[in-house]
Amino acid sequence: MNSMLEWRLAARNLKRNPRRTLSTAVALVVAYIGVALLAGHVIRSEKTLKAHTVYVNRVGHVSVYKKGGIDNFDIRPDKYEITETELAALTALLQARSGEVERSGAFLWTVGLLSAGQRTIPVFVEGLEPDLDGFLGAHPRVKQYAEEMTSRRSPVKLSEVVASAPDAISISRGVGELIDRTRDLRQASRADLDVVIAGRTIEGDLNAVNATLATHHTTGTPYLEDMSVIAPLSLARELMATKGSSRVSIFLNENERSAAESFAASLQSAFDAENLDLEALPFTDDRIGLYYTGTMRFLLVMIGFFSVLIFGASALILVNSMTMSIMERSREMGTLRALGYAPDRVRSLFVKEAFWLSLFASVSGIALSEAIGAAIGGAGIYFESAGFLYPLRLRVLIEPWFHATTALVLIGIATGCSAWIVTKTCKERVSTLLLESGAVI
Amino acid sequence: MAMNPEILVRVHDVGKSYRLGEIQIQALNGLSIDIQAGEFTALIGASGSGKSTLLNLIGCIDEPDRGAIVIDGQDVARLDEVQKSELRNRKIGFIFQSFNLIPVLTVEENIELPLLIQPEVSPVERARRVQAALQDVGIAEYKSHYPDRLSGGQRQRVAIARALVTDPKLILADEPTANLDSKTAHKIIDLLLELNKKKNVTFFFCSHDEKLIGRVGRVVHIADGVIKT
Repeated sequence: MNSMLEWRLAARNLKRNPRRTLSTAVALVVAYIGVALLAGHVIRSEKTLKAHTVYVNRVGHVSVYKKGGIDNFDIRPDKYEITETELAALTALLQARSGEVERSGAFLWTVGLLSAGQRTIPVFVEGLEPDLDGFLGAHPRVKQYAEEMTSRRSPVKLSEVVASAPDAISISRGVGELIDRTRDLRQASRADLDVVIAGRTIEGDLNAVNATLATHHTTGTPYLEDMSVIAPLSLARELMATKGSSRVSIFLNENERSAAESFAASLQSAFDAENLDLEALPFTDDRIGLYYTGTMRFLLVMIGFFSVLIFGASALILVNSMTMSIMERSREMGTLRALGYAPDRVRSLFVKEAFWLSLFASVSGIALSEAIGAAIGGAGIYFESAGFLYPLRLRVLIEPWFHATTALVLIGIATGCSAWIVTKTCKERVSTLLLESGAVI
Repeated sequence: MAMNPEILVRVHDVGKSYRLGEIQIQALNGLSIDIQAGEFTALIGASGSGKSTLLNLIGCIDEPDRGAIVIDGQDVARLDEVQKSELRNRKIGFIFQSFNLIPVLTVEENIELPLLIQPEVSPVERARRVQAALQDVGIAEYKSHYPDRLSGGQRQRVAIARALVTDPKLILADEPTANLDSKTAHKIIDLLLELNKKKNVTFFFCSHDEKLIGRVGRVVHIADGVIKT
């Protein structure tokens, strides 16, 4: 039917029993809000976890290791480091993909000992280009989604200090406490800033370098907070007596996991084509982003379970409401059939009613879930999250794609249930339908 | 079945029974009747005589157990549900005892309903036909009213307009005056007779009101599921 009258009729029919329509709509709206807020929290968690993995943990969207290096570099760095030659080949490959790459950087790490005055503690020294450290700490995605993990960084940036002091290092707040260097290092005496880092060279010999405490950082997680030292790549290389790297992290313009996975696959193909003994892994690979992947798997199972539960309950409410409505309006259906409406056309009228109802519920659900989400975000509620050192601010991020998908699912459930219920009644004999009571005058 | 071109409806040896719990009720028992095009026929019979059943069968809203029904040359038994719907929409108009108007639609929209499923009728043509039907039954001034604001007689006029708007060949009316007072009932019968003459549309209506018998062209008596006269 081309006429708008059928749509108007469907909309007006919803006013026949306002109390029932309202209660059904409220149930659908509440279901929508429940799923939207839950999903908003999951989306926010995903973005935070991603920012944490990619930028705060410096894994990058794609990590490049020597083949086997993920598991073996710490044991046999001489065998599993990325050599200077391989680094040059990799740099050339990345230059060919410069449109996709925002930034990349080499990392070199080792476990050693840090001596400050009379205190010596084990540390995990991670060498990187100082300006890369500045880039990562100030990245908009970090500011937007993982601010809690970087907000306790010292205002002094390693990248700024290192120009005048090439041996400047940053220590985590946990290390600062262990060596009693918690105050602003700019106020400390020269003697308090001088430290020595001892460790093994790439060949396994003992070595040590002098370093200057320049600033504090935080890892954002409890795992390395008591051991983390960030050093200029040149200092780490001096300590390990190598020009190679443990890993190269690649930061992409696109932040989606699919982009990372596709970039890693493409890079791996290039490695294979050039016989480079390297492997490219997206941050969604369990071997480098287990916290991200494991947590997301749990969250997705949780939201899937609750969504099925919530939408299942709302479908039952809708089925009940539509069944009542159909029982009351069998004679109207009979009248329409007598006027020449085929069963499918009569069914489409009821489906349109369900469409209006679910559309109203979706629009209301979008507006209310956004309002509640904004109120939650503005309330300044913090919560402890496993794996993070500092409380995270409770925020919900409901993205347009989610609203569109959920509204479509809700409308699909409503119209599907309606079509299912009304089909049998539509096929009743017209004379039987006309004998029913009510609905027409 | 051979068909006289003047015969619009042929009902031949039709039987129909219902089951009411354990009891089998024979509503029609080998009934045959022809209805000429342009005829105004009243089907008179007591309650339970089979009037409504016969109307339902001719209107293709029920199926006979046996026998044949031919409407305007079409054997109804050969039609599927969609084709029957099409036949009802284009060739048959219904007037119900209790009007059967859709309460959420205005008078105008109620009348427009059967035209909405005729895709070849443009919105402009639809509006013209609705206006003409409103004029024919004399309720043009109520076109924006909802049915619950109308009297019984006015509602029945709306139902008549809805039946007429598709220019059907046959209008079936099941006790169209049963819910009206006698003055209004006579006015409605006058209107139906006038439309029958003016538009040459065939009317077949059932009633148990003997007072109406003298006013119609043909009266058919039904009893125990068979035609008596």
